[in-house]
Amino acid sequence: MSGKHQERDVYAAVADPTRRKLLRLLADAEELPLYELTAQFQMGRTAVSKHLAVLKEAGLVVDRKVGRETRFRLNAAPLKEIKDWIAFYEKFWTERVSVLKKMLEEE
Amino acid sequence: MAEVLLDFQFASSINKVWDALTDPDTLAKWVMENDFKPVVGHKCQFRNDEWNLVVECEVLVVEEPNRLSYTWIGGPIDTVVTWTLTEESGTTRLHLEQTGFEKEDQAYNGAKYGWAGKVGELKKVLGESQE
Repeated sequence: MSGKHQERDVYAAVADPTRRKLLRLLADAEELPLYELTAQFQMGRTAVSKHLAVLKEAGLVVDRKVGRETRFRLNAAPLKEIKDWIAFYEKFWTERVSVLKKMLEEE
Repeated sequence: MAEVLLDFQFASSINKVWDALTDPDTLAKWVMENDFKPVVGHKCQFRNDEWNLVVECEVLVVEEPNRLSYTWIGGPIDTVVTWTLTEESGTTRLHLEQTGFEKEDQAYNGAKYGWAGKVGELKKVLGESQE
């Protein structure tokens, strides 16, 4: 799991509805240029750029220059914490149920 | 891998296992302190103050003694836990399904509960408690 600071950044980054929408748009496409992303919002390209910058800082979005335009794509790795939760609960229930088994066998 | 699927086998009868899954005093001994009731729509909490863990539950399905389902919302996760019990000549097969991990906005809930980074701590606690 990543360090606490980066996690906080990730949570702050996805706490905003515009940024969540950006992540969803990027999740559906391989790569999108800024103007295509901007077209999905009421706000202008400067505002969308600012949101993308926050996502980039959190490591959720990667960008690259192609000619004059900047293209963005999703980097979902920081969200892998959900997988950690699954692993956690697998262990949790296995251990809890083994406690229960002991209880029932001792009765 | 977006869900928890586990199978357990008990030498006890299906009714005994059902009681252990639904009786709050028994649940307190093997899961956590709680105010659970096997009544559809009942809202309750499982909590462990030592781990700073509070899980919000709402009972969804009660089909004695075969099926029990409730929401399990704690930390950044918003899931549903379903227990299925099958009798096999006096013994009991217990199947657990915990689903919903992949729902969008999970990470947002994480921020809301202020729970980021707690998983590692919990893993440690559980790891130690096993020894």
